[in-house]
Amino acid sequence: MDATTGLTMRWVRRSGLVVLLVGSAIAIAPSPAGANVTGGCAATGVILTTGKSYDAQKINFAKIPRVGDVKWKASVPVPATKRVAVGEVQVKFPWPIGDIEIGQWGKNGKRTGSNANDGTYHYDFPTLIAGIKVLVHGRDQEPSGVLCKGAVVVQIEGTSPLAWASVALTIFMVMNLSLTIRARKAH
Amino acid sequence: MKHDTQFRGRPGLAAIAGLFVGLFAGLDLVFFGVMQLDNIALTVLPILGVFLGVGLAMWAPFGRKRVVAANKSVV
Repeated sequence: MDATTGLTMRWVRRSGLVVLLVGSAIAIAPSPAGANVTGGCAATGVILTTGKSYDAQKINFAKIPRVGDVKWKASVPVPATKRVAVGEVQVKFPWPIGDIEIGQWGKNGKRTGSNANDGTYHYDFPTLIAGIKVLVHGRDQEPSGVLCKGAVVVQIEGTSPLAWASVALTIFMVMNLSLTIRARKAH
Repeated sequence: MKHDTQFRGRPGLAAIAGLFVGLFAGLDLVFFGVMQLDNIALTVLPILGVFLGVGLAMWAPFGRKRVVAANKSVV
């Protein structure tokens, strides 16, 4: 190998390293924070076990207990007339999965006559998803033209047992990688 | 000196290992709440892992001088 080829190889390796580092930095950078509710709609909730309240117009991050009861209230800025209001709530996954719908209303043409709702909801999330920050977003489209959109990052308190399994597998795979790049025996 | 420009590691295996290193590193960051579930890094890190694996395989073997020296001493 002559000096020019050696220099080229070194340049290629250094450039590759720079691309890896910059790519990692960009990729790990946090996603933009979810916007508050827009369009004049309102939604609030109080977790009864902790007494902590959440206002969708003020927050974009909520850390909640894994199990609890939430007393919620929501409203849209339109008259309480019979109409078809269409909306959905989705969870965002990374590309190429994208958005997954977890709830919807009005898509079957069912009409509603109210402009506000409230209730108490009991929830019990599995331990496996504890600690994961999930972007939940939704929208409500009224026939009068009112469009409400909102997003919030939800994190369930605690750590998933899968986290420790993932760490163990990461260590195992790093060891595996180091074995694949070690020097071979001379022939 | 002909062999200096060839892979001395195992680029295929290193690429697969790098893929899983990136995948599980991304999952670690998600499970510990360092980054959000929708972060594109979850897709990018396994791809970077493949490049890292192939890159390290290109660079390999580490400690080549000792192997070459040992080989020469046998000859």
